[in-house]
Amino acid sequence: MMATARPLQLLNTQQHFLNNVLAAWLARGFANKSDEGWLSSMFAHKVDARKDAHSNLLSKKETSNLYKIQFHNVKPEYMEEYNKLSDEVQKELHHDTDYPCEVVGSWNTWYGEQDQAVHLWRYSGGYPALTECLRKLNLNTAYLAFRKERSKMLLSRRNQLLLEFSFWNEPVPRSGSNIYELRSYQLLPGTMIEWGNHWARAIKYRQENNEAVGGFFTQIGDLYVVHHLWAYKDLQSREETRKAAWEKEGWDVSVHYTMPLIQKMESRIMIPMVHSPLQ
Amino acid sequence: REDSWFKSLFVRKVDPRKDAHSHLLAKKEDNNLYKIQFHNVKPECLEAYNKLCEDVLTNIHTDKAYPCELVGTWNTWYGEQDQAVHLWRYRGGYPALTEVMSKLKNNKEFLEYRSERGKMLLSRRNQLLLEFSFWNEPVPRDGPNIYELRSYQLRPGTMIEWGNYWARAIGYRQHNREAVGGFFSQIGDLYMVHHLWAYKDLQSREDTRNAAWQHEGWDEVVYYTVPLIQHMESRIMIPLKNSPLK
Repeated sequence: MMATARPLQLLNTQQHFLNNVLAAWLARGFANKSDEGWLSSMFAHKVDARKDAHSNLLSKKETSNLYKIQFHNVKPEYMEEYNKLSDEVQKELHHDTDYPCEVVGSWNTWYGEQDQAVHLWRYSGGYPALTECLRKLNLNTAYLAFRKERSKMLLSRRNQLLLEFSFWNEPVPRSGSNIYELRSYQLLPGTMIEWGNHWARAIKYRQENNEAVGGFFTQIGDLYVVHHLWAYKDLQSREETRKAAWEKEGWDVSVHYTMPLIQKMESRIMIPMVHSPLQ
Repeated sequence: REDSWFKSLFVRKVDPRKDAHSHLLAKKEDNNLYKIQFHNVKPECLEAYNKLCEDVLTNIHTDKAYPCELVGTWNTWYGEQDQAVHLWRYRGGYPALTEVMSKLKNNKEFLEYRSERGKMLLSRRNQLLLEFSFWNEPVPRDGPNIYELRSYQLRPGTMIEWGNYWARAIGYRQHNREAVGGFFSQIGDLYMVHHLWAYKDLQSREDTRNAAWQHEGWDEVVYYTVPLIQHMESRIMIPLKNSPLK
């Protein structure tokens, strides 16, 4: 009984899977890839079926860097005190070679959600490095005292674990003074590969003024979120640099195809804190 | 590329554009930049907060050394309550904004005000805005009025389309002098539009808005702009004593 039922069941499962794929394709308006005729060319929103997790396809494999971004909403009356305290503690952790992590940058939000600190950390060595830091910090009495002090100044905290896009440069320290723009995109789930394909081309239109700092996508926390980090001399130079991109052939096409992938987007202008390696 | 009948079946149509929408839709000749601030105040501090703001904001507004003006300042009456909304204009764009910022950093009165204010706040949020070319620039007006701030979160990529429709729609919404200003965000939450309206009271708001539907064309504009919106919100705001928009 079992022996004859199994192949049938398998066939049913396969058929079921194919039906699902077909239904999904039809629902999203995809044409068959092998039949790329006039019909498929009508659709702007085209997603190829993928064979691997997007984290594998899009991230830098050779470096195995993991990033953590932290958003701290500070009680307005404690902002200065918070900055002073964070400056001291982060500097120490950053320089302690015993901890496989570094501060990439630390900022205060100037435009956007205010009274907010944003910290970006890099863990060289991926998840094991992250775990090691966590374990060591839990035994670090100075750090625990800092955490306790800090918690009195905070309204709320939020963090995300990030990977960096393979086609963006790794963020390296830079001297200032600059303002930083963090553009955060909430994408439609399932469109990360398509986003990556378009931005792999688009990024070359956005390097002329040394403005590109880093490009990341989330692995834990809010998902399908992309963060692009840019540096500019000031707001005026930001305006001019961004305008110049429209002069380049190809930028308009990238904008045209990436816009429909976005659910919500947000831009923050941030000022580096005193100890931030990105100044 | 030519649009076929087939392609026209899709609502979500984004035309390729050749320039940033900030460039295509904003008033180019006056180079004004606007900042809108949302301050969520601890409920028990609202009165003290309003009193504190009155003097300091007016002083900055009238001081010629600062290239900025207070367009209006309000408390939210309906919507998110215990909230103050301030709208500033910077004549001369980003350089003016930067100049004000660096001067304020050395202004002792302002720094004291800031640290005093910090104790009264729950949270702050701001956005940099440009004004739509087809809206009038907001000018001071006498009161009493109530103000409605309608904020639209658009689908990314649809700002130009929004602008095209509203460039026509605004013609239907001037009869009672209700249109105050129309803005879109440049920094902060993006693809946000703010429309600011003034009415004598809530009843007059109702009558004025109903009257728009009597104009041929208004229904069509609503029909085509509503699908561009992801989220919308309306606030009724009461001007503060020192607000130039009363």
